[in-house]
Amino acid sequence: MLRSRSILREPLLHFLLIGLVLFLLYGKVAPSSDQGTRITVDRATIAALAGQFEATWSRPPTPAELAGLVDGYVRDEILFREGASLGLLKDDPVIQRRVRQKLEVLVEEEGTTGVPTDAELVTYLQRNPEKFRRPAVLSFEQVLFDPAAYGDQLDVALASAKAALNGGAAPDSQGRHSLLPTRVDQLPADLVARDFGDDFGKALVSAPVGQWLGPVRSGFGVHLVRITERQPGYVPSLDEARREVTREWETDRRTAALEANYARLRKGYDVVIDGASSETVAK
Amino acid sequence: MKRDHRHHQMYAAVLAALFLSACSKPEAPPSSEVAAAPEPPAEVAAAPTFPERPYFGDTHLHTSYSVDAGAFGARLTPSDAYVFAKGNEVTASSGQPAKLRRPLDFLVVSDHSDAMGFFPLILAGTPEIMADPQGKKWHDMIAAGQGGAAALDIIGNFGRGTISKAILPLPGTPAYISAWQDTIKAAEEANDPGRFTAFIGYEWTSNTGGNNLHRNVIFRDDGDKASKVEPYTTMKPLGSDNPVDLWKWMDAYQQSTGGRVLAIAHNGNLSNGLMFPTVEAFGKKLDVEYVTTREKWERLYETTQTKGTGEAHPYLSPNDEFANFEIWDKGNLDGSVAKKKDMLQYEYARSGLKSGLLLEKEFGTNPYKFGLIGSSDAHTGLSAMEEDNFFGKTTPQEPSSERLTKAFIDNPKTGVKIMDWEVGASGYAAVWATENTRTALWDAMQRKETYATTGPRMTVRLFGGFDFEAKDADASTLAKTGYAKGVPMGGDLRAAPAGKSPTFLVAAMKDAIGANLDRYQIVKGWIDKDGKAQERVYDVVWSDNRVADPKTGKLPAVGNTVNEADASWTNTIGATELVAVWTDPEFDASQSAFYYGRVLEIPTPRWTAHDVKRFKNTPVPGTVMSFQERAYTSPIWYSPN
Repeated sequence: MLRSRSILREPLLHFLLIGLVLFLLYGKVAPSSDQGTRITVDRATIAALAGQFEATWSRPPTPAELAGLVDGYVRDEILFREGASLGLLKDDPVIQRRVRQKLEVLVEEEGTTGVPTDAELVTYLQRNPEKFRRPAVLSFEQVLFDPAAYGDQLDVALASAKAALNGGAAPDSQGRHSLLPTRVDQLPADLVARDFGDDFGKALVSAPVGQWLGPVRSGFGVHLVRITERQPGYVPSLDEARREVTREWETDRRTAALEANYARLRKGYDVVIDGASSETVAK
Repeated sequence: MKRDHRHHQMYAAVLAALFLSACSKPEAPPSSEVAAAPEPPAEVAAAPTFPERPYFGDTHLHTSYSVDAGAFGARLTPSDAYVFAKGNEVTASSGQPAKLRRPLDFLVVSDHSDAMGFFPLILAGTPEIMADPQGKKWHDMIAAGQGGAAALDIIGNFGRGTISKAILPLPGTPAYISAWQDTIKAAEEANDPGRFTAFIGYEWTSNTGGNNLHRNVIFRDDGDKASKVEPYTTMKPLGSDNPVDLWKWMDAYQQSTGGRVLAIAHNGNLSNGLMFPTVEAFGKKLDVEYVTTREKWERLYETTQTKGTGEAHPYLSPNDEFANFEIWDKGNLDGSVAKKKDMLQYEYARSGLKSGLLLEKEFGTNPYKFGLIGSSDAHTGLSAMEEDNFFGKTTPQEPSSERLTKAFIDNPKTGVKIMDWEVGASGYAAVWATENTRTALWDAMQRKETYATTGPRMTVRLFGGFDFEAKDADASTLAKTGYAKGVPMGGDLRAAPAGKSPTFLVAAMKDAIGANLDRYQIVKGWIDKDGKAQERVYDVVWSDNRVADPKTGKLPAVGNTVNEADASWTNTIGATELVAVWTDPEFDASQSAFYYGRVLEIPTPRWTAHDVKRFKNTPVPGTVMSFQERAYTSPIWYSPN
């Protein structure tokens, strides 16, 4: 069992089978000595076809599947040549686009050869600080009160709860238990706003640290809040944000390379668009 | 050249990967047992032992790389889509600024695998005549501002398999490879573990005859593995329109790379009776292999999205007063075949879950044991599903004074007509994960610890067990109790202890900036003594101290504060939070069953009302202007053995 399977996996067997397929196909498709009607399916092509199959199926094709792929390739080749000789290549935007893509990739690669120096990255970071700014990070405790449950006694209830909390009462002993976390650890300020609403998030950005504050309103009700730690927002150093800065720098370089290349090429063309001059449409 | 090199490297990688995959096991369901937690590495915060918060995102978003989206006018790329989802402002394809009120936590850009990158090709270059008559026609239509009509024509031709092979990028072609590599690169660059997850994915768009059998394929892996394959397509000979072949592809991917993928089907409502088959699929009788394979790969079902909500249908659930919600039941995806009533039972999540129980009896495995999520299926690159900030399903449906009154699908032959106003600003996927990373979120999806929302970000918990008691209904200790004494949504209960019924610990909290909650319901489905599938909806906990009618058992409506003209409402009714323990009052331990939660908000204005307020236009008669948004949890299944 194991033995026969391992024979099936033997590269030499694959090679021989592929050779056989090729031999048979060669006889079919290469009868003529005329260059224009000769199609050579070389080993590199076969490997590429097998690679396509493998890209989809994550396994090499069987000999029968490979024969089918080679047959398809030959068919493509013949019909492509016939079509091209009829002039069907001309004005085909698909082909146009692919050629454009290839050229742009080349230009982009040229534009990004070499690794940026630290000095270049530092300059880039200094010129675009807001792109990389880190938000303030907050740790806090909160106790929720349902205003409807207190009516006009809400202020009294909040004042007495605040006094109790500042006197050391456990947050869980006050207000209403809810699915909201009583303690929030190190959450960036923008995510505080995401979880509790903008007003709540804003209130915590500048409030003093260490004591129970409030009432602070949110979509859930009214809270008493104690900020236990607030790390202010800042622009990171290059070391901290190297990956992002490099990525942004590269993106800018690519865009600039493409634009510069296009601008240079565009100068060499005189574009006429029905009724408009080259200058007006060049913009 | 680069590609060949990759393939040579692959053989070596495959062996290593296979070995790794043998060693790694799927993440065990989270437990509250703290003692079992391994020592966290220094300087890295330990992930909590159970999920403490849901992460909200979209598993289904198209960009200009999708052939139809491009034709509709989408110009944004996968990169743009991630930038937007992270909360940044971008310029929408229609030229207006777009920004989410709150960032999403994760996003899957899931462009159609067939002809991925096709649209940039059609649009490309100067408006020259295309060699191919079809291509030329579409190009001209788009150039003449009829992109929407071109898109629908492309979708129709795609479904009929009549797109010219000459103009479709196929796997292995440079255009195709570059589109897929761009998609991967965009996700790799946007992925920010701990803060924002950018998944790699694609949509496999089986649409033969216009019948929607689409699946989104989501990778757990990074680009190193995902770039070793190209997406599976539906075009022969490399692709197939049969989901069975997609599952083979998924298996091949996992076997060869050691990676993990899962598939999420959607829009059974447009499948014309094909989404949840019970007898045969693609001309083949269902068998053990079909049901086990489907259960293995299709872990989730996208229950709500822009093209309608598919939890339940009023025809199938006449006793469910809330079943009639954002229903699209006029025909299939391209409107080429009108709907017949007998198709409906094979199209909706609830009926699918019921069929699953019956098939489990027949084959030993439940093929439709799926969890629930919502997502957008927007074709704009913008996952913007907020009612007052809705950027539509397609680019022509981005905010404008016209979008309220135009037709989206209009097939005069069949009479199937769907108006733009019927498109929903829905939905998102909520995932209970221990942290915001590809692996943690994907593992949570795989274990179905997820729920669907029609847009609002309410928090919803559901735990099932045999020992929950009234005192467990304490919001502050709920998760700890829930995981200790039961299983979360997506889990299983087996073999009830003698004399015990399943108990459920449920909780819901309103969206921080959204509407209050009306009620938390549990939907139960089961097989009765005669072997028939049954269903019942129970009100479990509700707001405002309402009392059910003693005769009918029906709970009065929560009320309505919506001012449609002003597109406003007040949270003067409803509850900010609902918590309860519920015991199944009609439990039979010998009957298999499922239970899922449904949470309703109080009525709020629909996007249509916000549009009328903003653009001062007049809706067509029948336009729905307000509704009750909701969430659907993944079920918990009970099995007698």
